[in-house]
Amino acid sequence: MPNQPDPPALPSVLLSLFASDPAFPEIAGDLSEEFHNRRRECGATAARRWYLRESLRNVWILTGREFLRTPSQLIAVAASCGLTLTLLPFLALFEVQHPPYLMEWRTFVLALCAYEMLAPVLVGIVGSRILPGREWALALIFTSVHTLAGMPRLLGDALFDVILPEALSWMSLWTITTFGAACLVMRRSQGGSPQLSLRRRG
Amino acid sequence: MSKHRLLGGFETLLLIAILRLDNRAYGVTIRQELIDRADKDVAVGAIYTGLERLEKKGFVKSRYGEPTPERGGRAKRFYRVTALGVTALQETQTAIQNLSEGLDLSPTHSHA
Repeated sequence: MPNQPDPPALPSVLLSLFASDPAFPEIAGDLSEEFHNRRRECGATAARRWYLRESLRNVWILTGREFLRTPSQLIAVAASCGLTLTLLPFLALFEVQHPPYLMEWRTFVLALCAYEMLAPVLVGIVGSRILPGREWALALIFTSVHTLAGMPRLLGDALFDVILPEALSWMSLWTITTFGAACLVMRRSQGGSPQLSLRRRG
Repeated sequence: MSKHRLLGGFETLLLIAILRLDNRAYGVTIRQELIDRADKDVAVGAIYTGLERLEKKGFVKSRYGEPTPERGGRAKRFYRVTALGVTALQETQTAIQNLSEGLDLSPTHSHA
């Protein structure tokens, strides 16, 4: 259908990110079909407006479905990811400050920087492999837990020092962003993308 | 005593809509049927969530149609109600009828 315009791109991309297999191709197909029907009946503007509204509505519903599928498993994995990312640096810090001093302070700082840079990505990949099809819910839960857990620490430190909380908040932002990005990349590579879903069905 | 678990409200509506549509039941037509006859504007994602649940229980079966350009090259997924689904629907309707027997459900009759 060369003379028929495609549905708006942005809602389609949003939907492809949030809706995972097995339902995505059907949902995207139904929305596209109804968009064309409405375009013929009500005009392009009304059809685009409807498509945007329905896409956002479906994103909301599908996110809820991801949460409700196995909530306890989701929370357990998100909490484990959070603990892995916060506990190991604390243990290393403890080791640097107490005998038998397996690590020098300078090595610790370098290792910590490397860990803070890479660990969220790796943990995000592992978490997504454990919960295929629920990567988006995992990223959301992790972000909430990480933000809530970091808040008292930031508020407490803010009373004494301004620089440390700022550094911590940037670190948290980096952790949340890279973890979320890893989850979404894994989602697409594990079958969240429409192209992959269609290819698999042949 | 029923051998099957009774259907939920939305599951009942989905099964009836599929039965009414016969062999034309897929996301768009089911959604339209729910709007037209039950005055229920449901997102298509919610419909597929319900259908997935019904399929797991063995109450519906699905098959893929041909991909169309209007759907961005994606195939329609047609649904039909199985014999088990019809039995579950009958049992649910019987339970509702038995339970509501003798009750005055007219809008003028207040239970408050």
